[in-house]
Amino acid sequence: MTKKVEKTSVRWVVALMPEANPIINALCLKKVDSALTFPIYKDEEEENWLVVSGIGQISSAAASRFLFEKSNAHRASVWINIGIAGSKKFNIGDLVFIDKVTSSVERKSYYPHVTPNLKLNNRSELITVDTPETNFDKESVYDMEGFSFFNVASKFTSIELIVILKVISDGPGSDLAKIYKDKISSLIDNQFKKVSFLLANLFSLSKNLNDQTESPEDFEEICEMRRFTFSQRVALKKLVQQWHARNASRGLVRVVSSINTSSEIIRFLEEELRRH
Amino acid sequence: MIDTIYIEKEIESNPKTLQILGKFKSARKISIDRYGEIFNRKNQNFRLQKIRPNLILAKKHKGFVLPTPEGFGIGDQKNFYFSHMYNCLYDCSYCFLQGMYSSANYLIFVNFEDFQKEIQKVIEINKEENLTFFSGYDCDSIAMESVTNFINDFIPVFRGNENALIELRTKSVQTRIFEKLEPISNCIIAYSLMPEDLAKKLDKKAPGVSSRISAMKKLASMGWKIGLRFDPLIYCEDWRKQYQNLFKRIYSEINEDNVHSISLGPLRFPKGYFNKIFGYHRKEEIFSYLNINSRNTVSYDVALENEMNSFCKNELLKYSSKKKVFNCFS
Repeated sequence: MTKKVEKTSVRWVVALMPEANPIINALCLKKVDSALTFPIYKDEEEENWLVVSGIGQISSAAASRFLFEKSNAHRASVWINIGIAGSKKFNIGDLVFIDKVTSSVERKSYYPHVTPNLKLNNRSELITVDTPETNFDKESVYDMEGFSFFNVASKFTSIELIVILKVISDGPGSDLAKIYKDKISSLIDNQFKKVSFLLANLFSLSKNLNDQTESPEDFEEICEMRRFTFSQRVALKKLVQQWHARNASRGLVRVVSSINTSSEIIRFLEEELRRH
Repeated sequence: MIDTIYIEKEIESNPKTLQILGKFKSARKISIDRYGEIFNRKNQNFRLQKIRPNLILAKKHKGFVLPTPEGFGIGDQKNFYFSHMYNCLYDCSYCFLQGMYSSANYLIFVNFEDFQKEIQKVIEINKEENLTFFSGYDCDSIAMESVTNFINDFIPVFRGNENALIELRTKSVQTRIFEKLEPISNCIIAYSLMPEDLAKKLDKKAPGVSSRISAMKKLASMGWKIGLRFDPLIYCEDWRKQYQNLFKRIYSEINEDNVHSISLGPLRFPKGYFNKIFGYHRKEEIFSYLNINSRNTVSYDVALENEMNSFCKNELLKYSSKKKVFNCFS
């Protein structure tokens, strides 16, 4: 059975609890189970799911995969990594949309799709490092998770639905030990409204992708009426799709309900479609 | 129009790169190693990217000029094609590029000089034969002219090489560039056409058929040779009447002497491309008439394909001499 996507399915991956708290509050998320490897939160409708990964690329990758499995994420779910980052170019508190993410270790880059109608002015390359950055050699933004998040998330969904957002928390000369929990939460909280605007555009892409992948109308119902083999289902799917493209107003279930076998249904549809 | 441009490091200072970047001063520029990192990536979706494509500037390293597939040609002994660009400004429902590429970003190969050298070389090697070079297989030849300056750069290559034709395949109605150039007899500006009602439904973002006919008329009056391309021929309920009206309309505006050639081709796709494209356009009626055939491609039934081809060909022969009409079955 093809799973239908929830209308606003989002999977949030954040490194720290203080980063997660403003999102948990804004989206009214509740903790799923206290004994999980990574803490997971979800809303009542199970549209928004959030995992707290901990710091670093390995944790982020593992938590993303964990969330994918636990939340039964759909191919058209939106995946967002949001968190604090360092930069010498942007101001503390700025929200930055990441359009290139590079691993400082692997020397490899990915290029997140730029969401259409993006209203965020700040865009940057993100360099994911394995130890906290203090030098800030480049004009880029620095974090410790983005690269591996993108790498793993791109196995679950189309890259147009994966977004990395960073809120600048430190820069050259910052004392990382003095970035307190409350400060982190407040930085994320202050920018969450802008994130909500971005979500509307992402949902539109998600819907578009879902329309491309979901089963055509009547298909599942016909499959349940008779026993179809795997290859018959493949053939039936295409025929049902063709039928609806040509006979939008004619109910197909009623038309085929009196046909006795799966092969006869397929033959009937082939013949009907051949008759122009 | 373009808000993000990816640029291969190797061609960052290429004059064509700089010329193109000069047209998009406010776009964000992102440095890349190879265009394949973006263009050929798995797990991306052509339709989602088509909402707002970005631009990629890259260098082509090989395969500048290639022989055309068998069955593709307009009468010359040898046929070649070349693509300075992948993807198109327009969004035609039946476009095979959607099945061929996973990215809808516009990819421009800026090393025009390498294409030009290779074309010259092919002309030189085959100087005793008549050749046709097709442009517009992987993009529209003219639609992005304001960005690429392609016409301006490539027409001079063919000027004086009378044994070599260049076909510029297009739906664009930009004629200004041709006003600035002295017409050459070995250049064909070939318009993709279909009945207006079908084009309104299928040729999204492309100029209407009436505008294309007006552009052809204007170009013909300037002395440029015109090509008429009914490829693909599209089935619909009253296709005979619609195509009859289209041909009548064209020849009421364009003098037959100005038409270099006409080609007809059926709607057909490799199976893999079709599955992708039909997935993108599930409600598009034109795809509901197609089936897999014995050549392992997806097309209309052979009987319908033949009927459409011969009907349209016979109709065209009311206006045109037989030697100008070609079938394209590649």
